[in-house]
Amino acid sequence: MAITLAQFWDNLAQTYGPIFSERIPPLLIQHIQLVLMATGIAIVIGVPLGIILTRPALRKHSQKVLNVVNIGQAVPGLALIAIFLPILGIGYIPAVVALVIYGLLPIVRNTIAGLDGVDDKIKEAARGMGMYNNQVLWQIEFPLAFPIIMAGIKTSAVITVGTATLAALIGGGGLGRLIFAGISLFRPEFILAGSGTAAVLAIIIEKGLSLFEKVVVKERMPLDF
Amino acid sequence: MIRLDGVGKDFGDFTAVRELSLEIPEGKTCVMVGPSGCGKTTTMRIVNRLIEPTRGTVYIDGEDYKKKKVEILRRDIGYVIQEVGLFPHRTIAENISTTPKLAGWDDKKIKKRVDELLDLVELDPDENRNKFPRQLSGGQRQRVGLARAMAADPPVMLMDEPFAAVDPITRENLQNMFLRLQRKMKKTIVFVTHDINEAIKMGDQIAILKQGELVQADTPEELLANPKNQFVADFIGVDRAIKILDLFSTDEVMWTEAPVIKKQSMQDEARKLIESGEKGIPVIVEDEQGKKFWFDLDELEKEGSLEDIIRPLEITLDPTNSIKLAMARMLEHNNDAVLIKGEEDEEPGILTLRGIRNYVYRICESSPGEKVGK
Repeated sequence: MAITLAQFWDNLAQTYGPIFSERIPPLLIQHIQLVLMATGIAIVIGVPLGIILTRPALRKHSQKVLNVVNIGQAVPGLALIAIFLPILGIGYIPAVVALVIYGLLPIVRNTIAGLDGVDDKIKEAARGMGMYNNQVLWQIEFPLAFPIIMAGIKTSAVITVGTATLAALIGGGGLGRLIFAGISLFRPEFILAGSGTAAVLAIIIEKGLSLFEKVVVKERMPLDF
Repeated sequence: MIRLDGVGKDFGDFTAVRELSLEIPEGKTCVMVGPSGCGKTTTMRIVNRLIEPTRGTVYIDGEDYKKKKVEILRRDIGYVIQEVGLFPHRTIAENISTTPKLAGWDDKKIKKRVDELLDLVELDPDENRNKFPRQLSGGQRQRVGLARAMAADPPVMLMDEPFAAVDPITRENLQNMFLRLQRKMKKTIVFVTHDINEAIKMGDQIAILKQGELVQADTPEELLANPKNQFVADFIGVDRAIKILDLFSTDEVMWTEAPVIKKQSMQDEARKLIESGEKGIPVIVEDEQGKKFWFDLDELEKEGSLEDIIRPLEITLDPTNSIKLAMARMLEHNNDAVLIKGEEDEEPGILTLRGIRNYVYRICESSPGEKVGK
């Protein structure tokens, strides 16, 4: 029994060892770069967009903008990448552009939901005490909306990890290459290795962002609220 | 002093406040009261410009308030709102120090002020300073809301149903605490409530609103005695006569010139009083030990026997006590009169149930409120 188990591990190592030691690391790094870059840009665009759309002057336009952003996610990832192929060509940059558009919606939507969800009474108290509008935003609204905005960022990042596998189709690199190679070569272990690693990456990124959130909010909140 | 000068507010086609003029003297509390939708909260929020008036303006200390930058104006107006509106992500100390921080106080001064305010609203500073609003009870949060509004010692305070969200016992405690504070602080206060009893208790002045119009603004005494029309009378309620009991003090109703006679010769002296044409007055009887009794002259005429109707005067009250308290004591002791202490060397007065009845009836008759309850 013990011998067969050892043999099994041996076989496993012989089959998968090279994939893990040689193929995966560079692809994983590419993948992480894609995800970080795309999510980073999506945050830089999405959070301010959400904030602007909750200000009184622009609030009435928020639904229109959300509809447009929605299109980004309504279109299948593969189609989105295909659409950008004739416009931006192939490579890393077109892949990032497509991923940003794809990941924008959860961030914008949650930023709006988070800021809108702050109790009017609390905002009124803040204004009534003589805070300027930007003080109300940064001292009151943003901290209170932060957990919901973070949830949007986490969703976006996790989606992007999955969608980024498609980047391989337009020469954007990443774990997708392993998956598509596996499909073309009928090598299921390649497919498993690629998608499995992407899944683990998604979990790690999600946990990492949760940890970041905890560190930022720290002991500010002894109780959930 | 706050003067509302013809202020009004339209929301589209809807007129929330028509045209309202009202003056609130320095250091006084004006309670705005009325059914929901009467425009009381809108009017209050016009005062700190959370709502811009469509017409008219407000003068604070004689100065048109639109001349000041709105955020600066608001820092001089303490604001307590319904359900408090404490910042849930900030500690109690941070909540209270909001306005001082905006005004740029230094940390040491703020820290001292926070402790002082927590003491003032009867919360232990060491215990509560670093707590979050979630960790406090409703009543405690309300106290913190009050402390926060008073933090930078603003001369004016706006209070929007500040005690509405707590249970009746806590509410009464908070009301009493606030009355004690206000006696010392003498702030100019606009207080909004839908509860007429709270209005009568808290207000130096009560403004009754209906559908965006000011119906009557008067002292609580005047309002109860002379409701301007049926609406005001209805709003005050069918127990207007009972509410009056709370508002007047015993010295306003007592007899100050009740005859005092000696117990040994009371028969003779009583007869003399009747012969001299006195009617319907209480008479105080004093024995050798200085113990006091009383009887009613009319009753003597009916009953004839002084021994049967004479009663001890067991209860002594202060001239500042309410007649409601006096009445409660009479009911408890099954007696129709209480003795009211005289100020300094003045003779004591006597307050009788009949006196109260006549007094309240005189106030209530000839005003529209009389019809109420029939």
